[in-house]
Amino acid sequence: VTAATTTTSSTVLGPLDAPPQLHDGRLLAAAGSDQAAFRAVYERHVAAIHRYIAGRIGRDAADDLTAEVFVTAYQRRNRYSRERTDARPWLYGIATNLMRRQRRAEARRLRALAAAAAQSRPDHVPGPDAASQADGLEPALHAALASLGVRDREVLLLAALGDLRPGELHLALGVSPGAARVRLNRARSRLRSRLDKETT
Amino acid sequence: MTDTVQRLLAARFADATLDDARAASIWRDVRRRTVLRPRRRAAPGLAVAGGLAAVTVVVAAASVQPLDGGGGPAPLASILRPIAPASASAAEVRRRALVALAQQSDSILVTRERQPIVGRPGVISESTSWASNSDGWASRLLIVDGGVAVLQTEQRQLTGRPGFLESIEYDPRSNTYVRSVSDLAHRPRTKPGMPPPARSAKQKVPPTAAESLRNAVASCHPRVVGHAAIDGKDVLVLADTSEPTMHRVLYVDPATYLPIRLVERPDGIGLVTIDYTWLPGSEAGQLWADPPVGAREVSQHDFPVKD
Repeated sequence: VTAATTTTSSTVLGPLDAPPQLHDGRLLAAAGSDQAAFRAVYERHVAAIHRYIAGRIGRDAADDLTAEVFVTAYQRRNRYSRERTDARPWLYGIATNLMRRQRRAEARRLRALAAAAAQSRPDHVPGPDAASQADGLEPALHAALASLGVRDREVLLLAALGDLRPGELHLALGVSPGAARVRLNRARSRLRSRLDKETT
Repeated sequence: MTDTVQRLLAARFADATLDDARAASIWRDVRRRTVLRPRRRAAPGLAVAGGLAAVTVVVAAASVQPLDGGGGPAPLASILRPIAPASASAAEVRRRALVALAQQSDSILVTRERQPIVGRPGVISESTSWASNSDGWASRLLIVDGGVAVLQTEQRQLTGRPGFLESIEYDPRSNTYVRSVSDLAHRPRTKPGMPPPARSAKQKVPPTAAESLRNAVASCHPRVVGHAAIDGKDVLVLADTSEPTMHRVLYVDPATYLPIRLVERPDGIGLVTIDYTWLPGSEAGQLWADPPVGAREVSQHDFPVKD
């Protein structure tokens, strides 16, 4: 935790100087003395991180929290292994940790989404196709997600919104691969049971 | 099941794509808050300028001494040190600390952070910041690498011109500084060829130091609590071991419940020690230090410390 500081050379996303062949580990290692290297990491991942955050806590708060994620990443860049090529799981992990502060707001938002979805299609009769069935499930799903514990919600939404490969989830959660699988399976079964309760 | 969740959420947030203007705006915020963090470059052995030396003495006198000198990797036990049981639970101490931090609306927080420099064994990077808890813009930061001051930055709103920020970056090694004034409500520029933003973007007031620290404490999940001594003074100790890759130990003043030290042991790096000193609002003069007499003002282009 350090004081915010500022600069007045307000260049905004000019030409990217960092060589494109450098992977994230090398770029983060160079970021201390080369702002362009950190900007390359930012440009590479900001859309995915923003989408994940907006998906969880809404667009209004997503900009601020996305900035917070990259500020934190910059401050912790020395803890990132320079051999790791893709910083995306690590950035998701930072975002997930930061969003723990917002868990009540997230639950409130999910409940509001459930209410809005139920209101918009009160007489929805699901058709035989998967998309239609999923539409009918939306209010219950939001309500079920809201009722889950924050750690269950985290692992489910990381898997769903984060678009992480099976071997990457544990990197975002900061646990072993086995523990990540266990957490995901438990969260899925809890969600399934909550969904059953919501839809019956 | 996950496919269904993914499809629904993707549909719900299909309009959440990030356009270039917003990405640029977020980047500017990131850059403003990161560009002046400690550099990891070798520092020539120049003497610290007189004005900064005086400042450093003030801080050293006000801060507690480090537990472990910030050296190499250490097990959690060495961070915790022997602690005696406390009568209150970890959750209760954390709650009281959050309340105490929420009441800091006028004080000045001095934060002294020390950590090893990766690739330079035995060399400690130290940054000290002074931040107002009544004005999120007012702050000063001094960076010392290996005992040599390498950069000082400071910023404040211009007296009589709210919305304009004055900032100074001072490089002790060249004894030069750059002064600038920025309008906090300026229109952001976009990439060449991109349309201009639809409206002017007024920068939000950043959180105060106490608010940031409160958020950090709120995100901790301490499970161990006890008493220990720092420089002979009794302190409450909270240990957060919920993250396997990061252990945190927070030391809290038992009288005020304000944090006075945070020690972290991240993977792959030695101890990071952060000391907090709480000063009354009457010490606001410490937030700003004019460049030393004899320092030369230069343009941004000629300032030797680049982004």
